[in-house]
Order: sequence, then structure tokens, then C-alpha cells
Amino acid sequence: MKGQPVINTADLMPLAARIPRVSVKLNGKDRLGALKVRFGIGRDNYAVTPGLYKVGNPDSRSEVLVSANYKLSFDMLRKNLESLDVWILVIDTNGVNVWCAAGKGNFGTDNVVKSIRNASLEHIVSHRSILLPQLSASGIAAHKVKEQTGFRPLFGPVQAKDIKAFIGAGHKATPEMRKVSFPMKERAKLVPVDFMYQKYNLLIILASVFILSGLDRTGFLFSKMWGTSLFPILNILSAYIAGIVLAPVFLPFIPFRMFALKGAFGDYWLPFS
Amino acid sequence: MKTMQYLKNVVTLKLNADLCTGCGMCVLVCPHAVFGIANGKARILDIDDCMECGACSNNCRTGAIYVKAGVGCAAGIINGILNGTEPSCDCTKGNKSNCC
Repeated sequence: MKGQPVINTADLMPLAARIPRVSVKLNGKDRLGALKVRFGIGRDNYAVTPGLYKVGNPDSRSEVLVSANYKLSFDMLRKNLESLDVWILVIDTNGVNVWCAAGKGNFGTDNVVKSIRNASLEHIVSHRSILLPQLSASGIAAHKVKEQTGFRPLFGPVQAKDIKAFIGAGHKATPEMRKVSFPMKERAKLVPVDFMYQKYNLLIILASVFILSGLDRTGFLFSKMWGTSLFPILNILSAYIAGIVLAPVFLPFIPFRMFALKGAFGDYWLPFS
Repeated sequence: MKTMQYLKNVVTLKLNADLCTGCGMCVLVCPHAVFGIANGKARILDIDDCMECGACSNNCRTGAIYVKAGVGCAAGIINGILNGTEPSCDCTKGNKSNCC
């Protein structure tokens, strides 16, 4: 077989047929993965391979939705696409979500242009528009993407749950779909990851307090450790919990506008009240 | 969007009405509904609603909008203070540890 070119049979299929299809249903593994990243486990490496994906049976007239390659973002998008036939173009944002990546320019004009070219999007769809999440607008200049690729970016709603309504209304978002909100339920979701963020520092401090409590003028007394360290340990723990759980969840209800005063009130008064 | 206001009179957002063509892109991309259109020109409804994300100026074809946008990340601002640099959360591949 020397000198014979090796042909991968997959290369003979039409371009669109080679694109992987993803489900709109999240399975147990997706949900476990989401739970783990919410607790900060493997959060820095929860990424999707960038590129084009199918949802349902899209054809050359189907919509193209652009997403970040953070798996939590990707899952949030696809679970809201039930009964739709669309393409998802995942761009490489280093596994960072849409809003954060846009702020740094990573979910940005150049990256979208590159992804459109890499995916040969002009051969996949006959129309020339792509749907972008609204919160990518701080990184993406729509007119520049149009100039460089011929594809016209349309900014969709802020939240993936409104995409169906947006497409159904002929690419029209209501004013409510265009606004960000940060209600208590969403703020509470951030508690576990913040709690885990400084866990080692917390443990080191608590352990040091515990050990130092054994010190006595006569030497080191093991019997003294519990009695002396109990109150300081409880105190540090409650301050940690106040800062990470109570402050974000009850932020609008904590008095004072200045952040420093809010923090002082939240962290020092709430644990004792 | 009054609920999203924090400090008064600190926003760097500026709109040059002479350059504005009234295309409405700023109205569309702003997540805090800062802009409206009146008489064929964009108008700032309440400047204190602005959080300086930069979406409007980034998508203004004629350069009629200026805003000093940051990275939009509290961890980035703290990093900036600690390192004496511009705010950066450094969410790049080689440096995941500093990411917000």
C-alpha cells in the first residue's frame, strides 16, 4: 500500500454531515458536572471543544447561535433549544462564560471572525446572519464582524431561556429580555463556589488558632486547646459565613450604600444578631 | 433600572449627538436600558444606570459614544490594586489560578 494516499471516509461526506449533534436534554453527568463547578471542583477546566454543533436537524436555512466554550454556558444554551433545528457555533473563550470573556475581549470580534472562518460557515448555511448573546456586545463590534466575514451578527436576548421567543418573534426582543437582573436566587448560586474559594486559608487559620491555644506560661497544655480556641474559631467561622453567604444573598437589604460600610455591617453585625 | 444604581455622577459615558445617526444599536445592546431614541438621535435616559460595560461604544459605528470600560470583574479590580496595575482578572490559558 506504499505511496497510496490514505483516504478517511469521513472526508468524503458532505461538510454538514460531519458535524456532531448535541442533545437538548441534560443528562446525569451534565448535572453532576454543573454541581461540581458550582462548588469550585474542576471549574478551571470545564470546557467544550470549540467548533460547530447541530441541535435537531438543521439545514442551510437554519439559525446559527454563537456560544462560549464554558460547558455551563453551553449546557444552559442547549437545554433551552428543545424542538428547534439550529447550529451552535462554540468559540474558544478559554472555558470562560460569555459576560466575563466579553469584558476581556476574549468573546470578541477577532475570535468570532476566526471561528466563522474555521467552521467554513459560508458553506454550511446559505443565509448570512448569526445570533449572538446580548452580553457579548461589550466584546463584539457587530459592524466589524459583518465587514470581515459577510455575516451580520444579531444580538439576541440576555438569557438563553428567551431565545425561542426571540426567534419566534422574528428576531425581536422585548425590553425585559434586554435587561440584566441579579435576583436573590441567582446570587445564592454563587455562595458555594465562594465558600470553597478560600477553604485552605480558612483551615490554616482555624488550625493555627487551635494549636496556639495550647500555649501556656508553663508550656503546652493539650487540655487547654479546646476551651481557649472554641470562641475564636466560632467567631472566625461566622465571619467567613457572613461575608460569603449572608452578604451576597441579602446585599440589597444590608444598610449603607458604601461598600465598605455594607461589608462592615454585614460581616460584623449579622453574625451576632 | 433604578435598582441597578449605586454611586451618583461617576460614570464616564459620553454621547456626541452630532456624530449620532440614530441607528439604535446602543439601545439594543445596553443591558441596563440607559439609551432611548428621540427625534432620530440617541439620548441618555439616566446616566447613573450605566455600569460602563462598553457594549454601546463598541457597537457604535460612528464613534459617537465614549465610555471607559473596565474588565467588569471584582477580582480583577482587587488584583489591580494588589499589583499596582490596571484591573485584570487574567483569565488566560496559562494562568487559570488568577481567574475570577
